[in-house]
Amino acid sequence: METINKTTHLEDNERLIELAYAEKKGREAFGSNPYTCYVAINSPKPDLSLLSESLLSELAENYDKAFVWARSWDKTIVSISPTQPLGCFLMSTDDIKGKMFVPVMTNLVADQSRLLQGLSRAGVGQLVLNNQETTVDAFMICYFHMLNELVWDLTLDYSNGKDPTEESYLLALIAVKSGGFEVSIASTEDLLKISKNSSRASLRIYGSKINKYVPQVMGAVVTNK
Amino acid sequence: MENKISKKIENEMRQENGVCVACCITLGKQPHIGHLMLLSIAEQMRSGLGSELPIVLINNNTGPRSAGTLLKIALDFDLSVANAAMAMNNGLIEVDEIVGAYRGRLDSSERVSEVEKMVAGQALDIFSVVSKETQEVLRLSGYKVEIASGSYLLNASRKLIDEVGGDWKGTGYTPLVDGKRVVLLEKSGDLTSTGVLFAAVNSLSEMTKSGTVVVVDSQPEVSDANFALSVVATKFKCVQVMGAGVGIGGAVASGTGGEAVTIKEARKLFNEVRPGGNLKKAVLYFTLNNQLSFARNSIDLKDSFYNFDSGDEVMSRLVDSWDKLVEFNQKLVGEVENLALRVGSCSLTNTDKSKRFLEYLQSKASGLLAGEAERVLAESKRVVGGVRQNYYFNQLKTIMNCLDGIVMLREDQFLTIGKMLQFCIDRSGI
Repeated sequence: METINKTTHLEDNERLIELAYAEKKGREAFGSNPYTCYVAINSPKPDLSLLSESLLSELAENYDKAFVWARSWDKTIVSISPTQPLGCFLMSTDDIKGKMFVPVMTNLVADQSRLLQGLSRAGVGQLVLNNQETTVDAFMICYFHMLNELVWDLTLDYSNGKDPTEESYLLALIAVKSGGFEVSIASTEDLLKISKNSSRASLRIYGSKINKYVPQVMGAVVTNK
Repeated sequence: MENKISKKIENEMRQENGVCVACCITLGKQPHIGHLMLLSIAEQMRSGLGSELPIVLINNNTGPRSAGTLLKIALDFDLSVANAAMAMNNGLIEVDEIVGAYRGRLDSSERVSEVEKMVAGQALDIFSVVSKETQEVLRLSGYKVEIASGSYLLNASRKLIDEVGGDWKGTGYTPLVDGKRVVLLEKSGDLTSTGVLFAAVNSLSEMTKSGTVVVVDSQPEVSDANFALSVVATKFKCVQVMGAGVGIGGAVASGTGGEAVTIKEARKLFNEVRPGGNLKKAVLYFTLNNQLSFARNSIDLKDSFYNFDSGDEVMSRLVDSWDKLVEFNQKLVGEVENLALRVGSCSLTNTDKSKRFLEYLQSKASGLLAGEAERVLAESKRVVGGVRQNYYFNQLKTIMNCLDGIVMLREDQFLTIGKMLQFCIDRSGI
């Protein structure tokens, strides 16, 4: 009996993950992203608060391009650059300047709580990141995708059931930038529970599998609106 | 400022200690005629820069291809990977077995890191048996070559990679960032090919006490390793010179595909036709005189190779090259003997070119005989009329062109010209 329950439970979780993966929420189903956001760091202990601020400013300043980028699943590369020490830079994927950003690929387990130190504790929504052991670059990939997920969920809220627009995306960016957000970590199991128990929660699945250390379930976001 | 000056002086002192010329070959298979072209360019550099050291041939025995070969040997001989590595290191596996395993190597992407760490960590040479055979073949072909195990060189400077990591130390990711460029020495816990070369070149400089290490290789990793060394190394400089290869019917040939004969076979074939000949000099003279072909849409030396219609044509042209070198030497001797007959009490010329040559003879000779390293390196990058240039060979031809117009010359001028000609011959490597 216990075995049957366990199997059912696992099947439920797999179904949840499949559903989350299939749920596009107004975003492109296929195709490559015409834009890339390079998150430049200069040490394995980056200041996520500063980088979040930089990301939201960069996206708000280029909200028309950023909207297309977010709708195409916010391609993000955690990198180092000889000319940009710390910050986020949205560029055309074909831009040759992108070659100056070299992807970071570490294999040391990151201290997640240390990385999250100094981040705000309240705001317009919550990012709950997977606490599975991972590297700093993989953790940052999760963090930025979840932050973008929060912005996208708010974009949908501001769209009032219609197709999301550049304007609603900008409103969402402003709300997150001015209102802040809360960040915490949880196990995959708990992330799935959050998704199951709240209609305002959404999971984000790592589909590209480029970085082998990124957990399949990157995290969940819950909007407070 | 003071620091910069002292570094400069230190660099100059190191440069006096000599030049080490190196190239890299994976000795999982026997080197072929394309590698002989590469070695000829290395020999041009060694001679041209007046290096007294042998050419150092770095045996690439770390990395994915080596790991794949080791895993195949372990499978074929039913050995553990550690025991297979030890057997290969100790020369217990025959050359044919190694070459067969290299050609049928396993796709080892999952275990590359593990195998690489073991091979490099213990400085094992899993291609030792091919290395030993190659050393002997090259010696018999006339080359002054020392084969160095890549894993040994890597092991000797592995710590340097950790030291330059700065904040990234211990993360499995080692970038070197400086102004305009980022070079990765390590990612995801594995050394990049740039990182391996970086360590190897550093070890070479330390072991040979050379102020300059010239790496003859067209791979971009060499340029990246040079850059990385320029950021961290203060005691020597590293210079990249583009390599060379062969093509058959317009496509770059390889030994694996069987299009290019091995050096061992080439030596045998050459000696059958020209028993008293010198294969090394034949190939070198060939590279001094023959046109390069280029990969499509490129005029870059890094995309160049010497093209032949067939494998047979390679050998016939190398034999022809030897005959031409003999002819060239005879002509040179004849011209010097003829010039000796014109030694007199004053100098007299019948062309402007020869007149200018004698007028500036002393200053030209003092520059030339002092060794002109920068010019040798600069000229090696130039291609004129499809032919790769060599500074001293060009100087030799220029001097010979001026001899005809000399009607009479003083004895001291004759002796100076003789010294210059001999110097150019030695430095051309012919």
